[in-house]
Amino acid sequence: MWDGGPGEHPDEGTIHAWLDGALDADSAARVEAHVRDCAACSALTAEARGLIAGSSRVVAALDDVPAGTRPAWAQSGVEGSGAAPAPANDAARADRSLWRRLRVTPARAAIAATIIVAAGLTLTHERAAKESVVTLPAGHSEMRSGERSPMVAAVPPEAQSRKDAALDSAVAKNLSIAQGKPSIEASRSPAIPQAPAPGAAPVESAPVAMAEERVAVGRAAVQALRDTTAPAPDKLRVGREVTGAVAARAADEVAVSAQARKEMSGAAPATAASAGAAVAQAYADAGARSCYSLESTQGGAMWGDQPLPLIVVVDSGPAVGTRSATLRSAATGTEVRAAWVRSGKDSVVITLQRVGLAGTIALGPEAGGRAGMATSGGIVASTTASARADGAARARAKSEAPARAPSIVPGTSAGRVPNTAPLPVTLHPVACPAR
Amino acid sequence: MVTPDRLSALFKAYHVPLVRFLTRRLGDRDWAEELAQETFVRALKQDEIASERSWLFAVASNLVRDEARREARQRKRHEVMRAQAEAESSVEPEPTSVERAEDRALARQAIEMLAERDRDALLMREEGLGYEEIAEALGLSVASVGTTLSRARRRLMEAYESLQHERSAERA
Repeated sequence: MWDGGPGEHPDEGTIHAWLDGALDADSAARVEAHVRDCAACSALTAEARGLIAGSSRVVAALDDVPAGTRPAWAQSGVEGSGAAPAPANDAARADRSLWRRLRVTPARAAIAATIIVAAGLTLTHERAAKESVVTLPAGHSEMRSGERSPMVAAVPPEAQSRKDAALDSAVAKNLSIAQGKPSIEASRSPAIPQAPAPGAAPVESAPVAMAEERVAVGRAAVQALRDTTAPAPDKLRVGREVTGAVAARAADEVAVSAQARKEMSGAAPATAASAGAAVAQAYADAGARSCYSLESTQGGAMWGDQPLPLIVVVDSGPAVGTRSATLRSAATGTEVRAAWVRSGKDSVVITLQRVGLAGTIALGPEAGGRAGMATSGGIVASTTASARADGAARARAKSEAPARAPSIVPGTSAGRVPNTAPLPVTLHPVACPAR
Repeated sequence: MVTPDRLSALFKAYHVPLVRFLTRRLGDRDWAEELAQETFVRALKQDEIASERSWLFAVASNLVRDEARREARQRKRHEVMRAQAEAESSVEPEPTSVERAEDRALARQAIEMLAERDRDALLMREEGLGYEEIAEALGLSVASVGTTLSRARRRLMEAYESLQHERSAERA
């Protein structure tokens, strides 16, 4: 560093450091005094100011950049220097699937799984530690022995059952404290049609062998309890056609109620919200590209013509508002485009954009994942298919154990084919793999 | 290991500047977001991060370098073609956007003409990193950061002005 000796001039780097405020006080004072008395250094300083301002302007010009201009050679991702270059011809590029662009590497999958499972286990243990076990009404949950989450790992069934009971009771108690109710009861209002799987059984007796499955099921139980007490069920009655806008309002109502409960509960579920969700939420908050897995516990579930589970890739855009999204079926590899609309109350409505099909997914607020309902239907004529999105009624569907014949009726608009039954779905954040 | 909570805090603090840094570096927003995400994924794997901002920018910079090394020749060719295409593009929705596109193309070409270390130092500085952070991220001495930045700024402006002259001469 320049020491300010007699006859010596600070070099250009020192002057830039001075102008950048990177010199200590003594050095800065020496440079300042020298520049004041030295015409050459004064000119150099003036030039340096111009260079700093000019380079900042040039760099700022780089900000106005488009997306999707990534060179073909880089499409194979960031890991592994030996990755094969991307296809050179147009046909090959067109054939490059989202999966290949997403590149779900083992490391990423492991990280995503670890985050989600760890968060789920944290939730379970915190509840179990804080609350005593109480018996919940049978059938409040839709957990069934015949249904499996995609996540797998072996765990003793009995231990898991105890954990689940503790988890459920903890949530029940939290809700009762928050809402001043002595106990939690299943909703008496009609449930959204949802045919339970054959042999549906309460969680307490369900034989389970997979730890992650139990976590996922526990999460569903939490959501079911939250939704059981969700307000405004009348606005979301079964059989009523709900437009996309109404779906958004419905999701907002769920969001408001969930937020209220979150604020009222000291050890709210949000405090144990998954780390994975936190990271994904951070991306969502920043409006960055975010990825989720849309799943249903119902076998063979479809949304539109897409079999679940779906990977939802939400493009970058405003954190609140409309963004475009791509939904890709893990089973078939087919993709559909959709609009992702996140409200200020953190609810989300996904609207299918496909000729001949219409569909809506309404999701409640982020709480270690989102839960909601998916509906879709085909269109023969130009009629817009109805969308039934009912975050609150989803709880009723879950809370009523007896099998219930689907009471939903096909849309009455001319030319429409019957809609699919409303489908309970969950949306979990996953690490957004590189394309 | 970096906890998820800590990672979330890191994300909130540094995601935006990191994406901007990478966007300026790469010229593609999606690609920048992708590398930013990869950077945070790597942070999650890290046992401990002493100087967070310089670590994140160093990793991001290394990711860019790793990719660039793979196909440097193809990249250069692509960048030149893209810059030309951007400058000559006639599909911009507004008349003023053509001018902006030209500025952007020139800026892109000029920044690509810098030495890698100079370019990284300059872009990090533009993101507000201090000299010590830049030195740590790039493996430089703190005393040499000023020299690196002054060289980067001077060469950037020289390159930019030279390209502007070339463009003007082509039109004349």
